[in-house]
Amino acid sequence: MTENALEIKDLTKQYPSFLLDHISFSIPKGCIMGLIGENGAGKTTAIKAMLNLIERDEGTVIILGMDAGRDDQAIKEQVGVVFDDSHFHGNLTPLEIGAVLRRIYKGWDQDLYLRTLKAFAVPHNKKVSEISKGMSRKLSIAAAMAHHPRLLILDEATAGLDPVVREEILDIFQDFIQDEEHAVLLSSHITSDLDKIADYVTFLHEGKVLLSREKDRLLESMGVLRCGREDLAKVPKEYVVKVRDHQFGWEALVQNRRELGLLRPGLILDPASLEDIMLFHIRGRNL
Amino acid sequence: MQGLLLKDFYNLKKTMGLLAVMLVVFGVVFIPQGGGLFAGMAILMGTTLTISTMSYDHMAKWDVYALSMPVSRRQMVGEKYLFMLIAAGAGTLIALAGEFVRLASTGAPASAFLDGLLQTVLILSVGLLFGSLMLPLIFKFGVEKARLVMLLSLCLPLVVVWGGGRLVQRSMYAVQPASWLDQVIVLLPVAAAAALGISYLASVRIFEKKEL
Repeated sequence: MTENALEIKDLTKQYPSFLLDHISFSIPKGCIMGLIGENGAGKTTAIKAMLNLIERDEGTVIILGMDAGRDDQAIKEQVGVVFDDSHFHGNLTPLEIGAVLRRIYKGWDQDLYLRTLKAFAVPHNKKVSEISKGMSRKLSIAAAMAHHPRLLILDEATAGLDPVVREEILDIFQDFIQDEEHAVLLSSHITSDLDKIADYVTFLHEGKVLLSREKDRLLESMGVLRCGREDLAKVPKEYVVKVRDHQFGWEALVQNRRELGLLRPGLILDPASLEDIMLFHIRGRNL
Repeated sequence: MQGLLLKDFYNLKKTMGLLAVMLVVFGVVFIPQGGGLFAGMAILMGTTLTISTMSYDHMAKWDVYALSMPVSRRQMVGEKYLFMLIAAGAGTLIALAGEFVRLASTGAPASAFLDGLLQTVLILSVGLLFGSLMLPLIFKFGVEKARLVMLLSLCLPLVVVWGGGRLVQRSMYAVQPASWLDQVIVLLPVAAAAALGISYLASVRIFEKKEL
């Protein structure tokens, strides 16, 4: 029995102007994986390729121990997906959506669906086109969770929402993960959300995986060094990941920051956030 | 499949109410004239409703969501054909009812009812031929690009259906029906059934390769 809820190996998809290039990562059960990267980095393409919405050119996707190429339908009975937009027709009400989805999922739990809608204060009889964006997202989440999925895949599920709704939604995901058999893949360019709840982080940039690591270890290791050119020259190169210069001096993203702090006690070293790491990788350069 | 059908019917609730009113008005105006014009309208409405459901799906980006659920691409295509058969079937029943009421009120002989039935079946065949042409086009190009075809869809079938109806009438009442015309008319339902089958297979093939 596999311990990973999701295993992706060498996933590749070529478009005329974009290449998703042999990406690999896995999500252990009981964990939340944050998939981060700027717009156009390949997050949605990766998710679509996992779900067989687009054809993969190469690579394997194993979801809950099943091969995505072979067991598509069985997998989808156990996966809940939320996209950035509501994909429900504006004419439908949440109650009608429930009536439709209970005829699609074998494991649909109407009581759970209605309870979740009530907890989210989503009106049962209002048309989708008449409810707010936040409500509509909560409706999508309620719909994605009512068939008792074991893996939630969320593509920019918190994008465009106010901080209060975002936090409510993040709480839901954390509750979901309390069951050790569950897992979440949360793609987002809002890195502060992932700072809060992700156990693992995979960073995509221009269709490639730049890093895929346990978040706490990553943040423990990475730091931002702010200094002048002379000080930077004194830092051993193996610590420096990326550098950026600006009008007041230099900034460097460094690894093994505590070790470096002991080695060079006078340096100003701050902990790096996921946003720092993302920005340095995208906008910084090698030393 | 049931869920997908239900979704389409929920979506069209309002439209169907409007169409019902239109059918009543058309019925009052065109049924007394006979000639299959009302049947053409009723059946055409059925097939164009299928296109409306695809338009709604496109606007909601439903296909991407549907395929993230345990729904296969073949089921998605099959549901649209099933919907078309149900809608066109309902149009046929309404058309038949209208025609029979007309015949009964004019005291037509029993054979005229059989002719009315034949005429409606032939119009249904034309409607299904039209649907069989449209569905693969929409699966391939999407509703947006198929809009031009949809524009044609509003004019062309009406002309074809109406013309077909006149042709049927003429052939029925001709003293010596042209033998080739008889064969064409008999073959029409067979051609419609064959076109439906081929169209379904083509749509499945198109949709299975479609990147969403």
